[in-house]
Formats: sequence, C-alpha cells, structure tokens
Amino acid sequence: MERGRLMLRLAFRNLRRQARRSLLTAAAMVIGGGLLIFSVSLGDGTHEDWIESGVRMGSGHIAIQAPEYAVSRKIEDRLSTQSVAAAREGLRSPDIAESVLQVVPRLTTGGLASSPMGARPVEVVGVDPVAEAGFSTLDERVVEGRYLEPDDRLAAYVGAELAEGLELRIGSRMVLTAQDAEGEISGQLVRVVGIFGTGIPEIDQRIVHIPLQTAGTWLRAEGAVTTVAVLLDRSRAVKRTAHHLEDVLAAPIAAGDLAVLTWQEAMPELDAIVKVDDLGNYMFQGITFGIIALAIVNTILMSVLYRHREFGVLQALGFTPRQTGTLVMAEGVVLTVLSGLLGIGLGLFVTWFFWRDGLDISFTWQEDWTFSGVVLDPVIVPLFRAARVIQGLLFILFVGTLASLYPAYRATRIDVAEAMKFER
Amino acid sequence: MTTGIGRAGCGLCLVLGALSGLVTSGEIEAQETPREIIDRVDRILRGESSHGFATMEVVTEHWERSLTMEMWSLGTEYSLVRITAPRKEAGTATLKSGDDIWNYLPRVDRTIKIPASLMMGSWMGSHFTNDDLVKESRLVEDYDIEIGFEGLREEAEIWEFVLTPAPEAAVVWGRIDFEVRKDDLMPTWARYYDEDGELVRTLQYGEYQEMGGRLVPALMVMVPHDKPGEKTLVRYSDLDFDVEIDEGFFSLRALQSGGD
Repeated sequence: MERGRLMLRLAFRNLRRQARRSLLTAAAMVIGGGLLIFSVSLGDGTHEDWIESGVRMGSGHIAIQAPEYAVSRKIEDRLSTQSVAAAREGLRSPDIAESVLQVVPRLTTGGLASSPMGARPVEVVGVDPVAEAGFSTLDERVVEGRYLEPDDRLAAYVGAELAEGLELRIGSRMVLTAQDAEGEISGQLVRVVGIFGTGIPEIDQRIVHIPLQTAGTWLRAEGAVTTVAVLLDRSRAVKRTAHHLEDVLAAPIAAGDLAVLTWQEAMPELDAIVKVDDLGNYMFQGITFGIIALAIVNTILMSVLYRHREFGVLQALGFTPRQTGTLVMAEGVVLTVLSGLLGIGLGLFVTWFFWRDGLDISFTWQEDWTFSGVVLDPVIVPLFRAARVIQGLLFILFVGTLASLYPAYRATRIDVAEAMKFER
Repeated sequence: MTTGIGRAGCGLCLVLGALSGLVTSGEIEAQETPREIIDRVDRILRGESSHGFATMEVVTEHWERSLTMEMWSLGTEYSLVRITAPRKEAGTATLKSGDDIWNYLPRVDRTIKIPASLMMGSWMGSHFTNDDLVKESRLVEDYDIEIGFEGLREEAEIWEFVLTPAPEAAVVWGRIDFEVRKDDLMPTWARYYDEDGELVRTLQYGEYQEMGGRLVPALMVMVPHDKPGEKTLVRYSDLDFDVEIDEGFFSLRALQSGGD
C-alpha cells in the first residue's frame, strides 16, 4: 500500500517534471477520448432513430404473435380473441404498463388487390384506425384523401405506387382477394379513402390498410389478430419489458398460444444493420486508438530511453527492475486515465453543447435515405448513456496499459553499471 | 347459376357444357326476368358435363403463342384443361375444383395450388385470369341484372343486359354489358367497364355452329382495351356434351396422369 502510493507520487512527479512531453501525449488522448464519445453518442442516437422508425413501420418494439406466425406469416397462425385479451391484460400489469406507449392489434395477410386495370400482390393490414394513427407514421404520409377513421367500413388506405399501378383514385373500388381463416379464397370490396407516399417502393407498392373489423369479417377471423404490436417509450426498455411480459404471460406461452418477440427477433434485418454499423464504429475507434497507442508508446519509450541514467541511479539506490517497470507503467496509466477522463468530459460537453438538439447531416444526402424499409431522419440527435462512458474509460485504460507495457519492459532491462557509466 | 359472361373469363368453361333439357327460343316467355333469361343462356352453353378440344392464340405486344388443349367439365364446380401442343407445353394441366385451382407442370412433375395472390394472374399467359375461371359461378349473385335494350340491332332481335354490381359485391367492374340474340339465345359480346364508365375489355363471340348437337359460339376473342393490339382467341374444334364422367375424374391424380 505504502509502496503503491510512493509509486504514484513518483509517477505524478515524473509527469509534471516533463510537462511539455506529458501534455503532448495527453493531447492525443484527449482528442481520442472526445472523438470516441462524440461518435458513440451520435452512433447510438442514429441507431435509436433507425429502431424508432423501424418499429413504427413494423411490428413495434415488442410483438405478440402466435408462435408459428413469425415463420409462416399465414392467417392460420393467428391469436384467438382470448389470447389477445390475455396479451392486453399482461400489458396492463404495473411493471410493464409504465414503459408502454401504444398497443395496436393488427390482422395482416398477403393477398391481391385488383381493379379493372389489373391486379397486384399486396400486404393487407387490418388496423384499429385510432390506435394505429398513434403508432405508425404511415398516417402522416397522406398524399391525397385521409387516413382511416373509426367509422370507416369499406375503406382502404393505399400506397401511391399501388394506386398508380391500378389507376386508383379517391373513391375508386378495389377488390382484395386472399385466403381466409378457413382456407377459402375470399374477396372483399373496399373503396380508396386515402393514398400515402413514403418514398419507399416496397411500402408504397405493397401496403394496404383497412379497418380491423372489415378485415375480420372478410377473412372470417372476427376478434382475432395476427400481431399485437407494442410501442415502448425507449428501445432500451425492450429487453426488460419483454422478460416481464414473458413472466406475466407464462401460462399462454407454455400452452403454445402466443409468443413474445422483441424487435430484434421480429426484424432481424434491422438488428443486423444496427450491429454492422456498430461494428464499423468500433473498428474506426480501434484504428484511432491504435494510432494514439503508438504515440503513447513512442513518448513513454522515449522518456524511458532519455532517463536511462535516472533509472540506473534509482536501481543503484535499491529499486528492483520490477519496481522500475512498475513506475513506468504507473506513469503511462496515470497519463492515459487523466487525459482519457478529460477527453471524455470534453467530448460529452462539446457534443451536448453544440448538437444536443441534433446534428443535421442532410446536406450530405441527395435525397431521402432508406434502409430496408426504414426512412432515415437526416437530423441525428446524440444519445448519452452512462454505460458508454464507462465502456470508453475502460477502453482507454486498456489502451494506456497496453501502450505502457513495452516501455516498462525496456525499463526493467537497464544494466545499472552501463547506465551509470556515461553522462548522456 | 352461371352465365356466359362469367365464363367470359374462362373461355374454356364457357362452351364446356350443354344443358340437360334443351331450351328453344319459343319457350322463352316475355315476362321472364332478365336473371332467368341469362340463366337459360347459361344452361344452353353448359351441360351436365362436357368434353372438347380447342386452340388458344395469345397475341401480346412482345410475343404470340398458340396452344392446343383438351378439356373436360362437370357442372359449374369442376373442370380440367390439358395442353396437348406445342410439345414444350404438352401435359401442362389446370384443374378447377370449387374455388380452387391447381396447375400441374409435367417438366418438374409438380402440382401447384394457385395461391390467392396469383388468382388475378394471367392463365397460361393469356388475357384470361385464373380468377375468371373461379369467379364465373358468382356472377348472378354479385350483379343486379337489367335489360338495357331490347329489339332489333344489326338485323337481329337482341337483348342487351346491363349488369351492375350489388352494393358490396367483391368485383372490380363498374358495369358489364352483355348482348344476347333472341332467336337462338346465342351471346354476341360482353363489355366490361370500370366505374368511370370506361371500356376496359371486350369479349366477342362468333363462328356459331353445331357441336355435339348444340349450337354454340365456337370462337371467343378477349380484347383488353388498355393494351392496343393485344388479344386472346379461343376456338373450339370439337365438343361433346353430357359425357360419362363423375367427380372422381377431377382429382389431383387425374391432373397429373393426363386424365386418361
């Protein structure tokens, strides 16, 4: 303990003695730490944005479906009225309800939309108009007409490209054909009340919203849904909420009536994109810190070689080679931790001060950016997380330790007699 | 319950049948409702069962093809069509049973049930859709039928029926006009309109001749008006009515084995 404190005091003193060299080395670390925090918080902010748009377009942060539905995508694998009630009840339990923003029931099926001008394959989504408007962003994308309303019955909200292909206008008749719950092919007449445009071809061509009631009657599945989609207040609550929900719904899950899926399970593509992007960030940071580490190795090693005689004297006075090495390590680690802390603090402050309301990078884009059906917002709002700061600190500490290893090793190899012989 | 127009789509089914009790024009009473007249027309064109041969020519903007086929039908529920030429397509077969359609592809030895999403797809690349084959029997249920014109037109006494879809019927057409000759109950044409009253496609009947003891239109031409120059032509070369077949004939096994 005593010896450790002595080592630290020596290390601090040595760093202070070579203030200019220490500051230069520290500068590299400060910039690195600042960059780390900047890119991590922007990256997290971007991902949060992707996830948010993705789950709103898709099946929510958490989707409750029949176990087979994820694979089959068929109306045969739907949730019964009882399962839906159980799921809704579960979502109202105290630990879960606080994170839940919106719950929407959906009855989705693949089918065909036809008009006198032809037919196109579509995905028909039976929705609760009011709940859906608070959940999906689709209702805000109206180009013509309006979104579905609670009293609508034979109404349809279609994408602009589908409308163009089938020559649909507001009020046009359109026939939806699909296999119903009993396996029979059945048709449903609807009239277009609204046309939307998201700019994403696969959505504008394929998605048709109709009232849930109409879909239920048409597909002979009244009261049943294929998905109960749940929107949470933040994506980080997903894991915890999903676990809670699985506990609350243990009975129906065990009976094979329903399954709780997180967005990562329901939308593996989006999860993969986030992971790939994260990996890219990590690699970029790895390279940055590799360079910074080399700079640190260089300065500390130089200082070791420069202080050849000093170490020789120390060892002549009774320092063991191991203690000499430890001293060099201590210097390196103290320097990196201090400058790392400073860098992270600076990074947090600068990012927060300049871009807390979002960094608009739209000037780098030609037009709307979409990724697997998700519209990206050109304004990135950074997301600060304590876990990321701790991760950054540990990472910096790791780099500092690693960079001090070789100089420390060199310090242990000093030949005392040789070191004392010449004035350098 | 079917009408010639319904089978408009399915040119095939249309002539696949004659009726059990032959009706002559003389029997038609003036006070008959349009629905009953159409039902009679339909029954003339459809028997309890039928067996026949036809060729289909498809002309599109980019290509033309000709197919020869053999067909069987039983009532409104069952029909089987097998391509006999050209050699490349020979053996390809379509089975309709109730509301379902299966396709058999001999080259890969697979039977495919046509999914809902392909029902409006084209049948064998023609201007008829799979849905035309299935929906045929719903026509009288889905439409209100009125006589739009009755009298002399092009030197023949005709009825022109106007079919408007029932309020919530799951049909795309805004209106269908259908002309039938009074003296022999032969259909002459059917015109399909969208809701704005624009003509979308026309089915033209022609070459009326005796086949299997019935007068039938041996030629049907489907013309889509949104694709200029395109058409599908179906011409029957031989037809027999009330042949000896039962429901067992229209099985998936028969679909694969060639129906013999």
